[in-house]
Amino acid sequence: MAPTEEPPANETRAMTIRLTTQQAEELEKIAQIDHVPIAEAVRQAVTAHIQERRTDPEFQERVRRIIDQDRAILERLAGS
Amino acid sequence: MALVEHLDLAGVVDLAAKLEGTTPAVVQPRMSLSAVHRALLAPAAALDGRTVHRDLTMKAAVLCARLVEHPPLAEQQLPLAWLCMREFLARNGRDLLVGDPDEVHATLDRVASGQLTDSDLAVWIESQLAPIARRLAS
Repeated sequence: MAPTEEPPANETRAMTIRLTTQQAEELEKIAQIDHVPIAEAVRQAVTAHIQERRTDPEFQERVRRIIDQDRAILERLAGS
Repeated sequence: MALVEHLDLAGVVDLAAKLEGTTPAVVQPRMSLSAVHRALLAPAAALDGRTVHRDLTMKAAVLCARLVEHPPLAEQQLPLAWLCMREFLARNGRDLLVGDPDEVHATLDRVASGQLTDSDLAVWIESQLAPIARRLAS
């Protein structure tokens, strides 16, 4: 994977996360293989996770069902 | 204790988009992601390595209350808090009996005005659990 540019500082937010030793080692390997900084490897993983969640059919179906089921409640709450 | 499946940032943005009938890309720039982040951390809070809120309904209450108190999307304050709480319970195998809209509204209104504590809200949520979900929660 080609190296990517660091996003502008004003478009990022610093976060501290604690990984297991195994996760950290595997992340370093992925970053080395892809020739990207570890921070970029983390950003790519987060992007992939977000995309996966957005297309998760089980999640989408469940939310559709809840919204259908709770339509009267949601309308009442929105009207406050 | 069973592993709890928490909501994530993408999930909340997606829920907000569905409420507005739009896409996450449209709604996300208008959202306070820090408010979402803060609310998402609350149910999983730990002190000295120990979970603060052990009960699932308490976790749901804390999530809902933080989203009501610090709404990430002002115009969807109560609906988004409700929907996130419902989704959190659903992904952990709990369903609610669909209640009276006026009662739900009054309850969340009392959360917003500080008249209802997290514990009070948890008790109310517990009372709204579908019977099978209540058995699972116990």
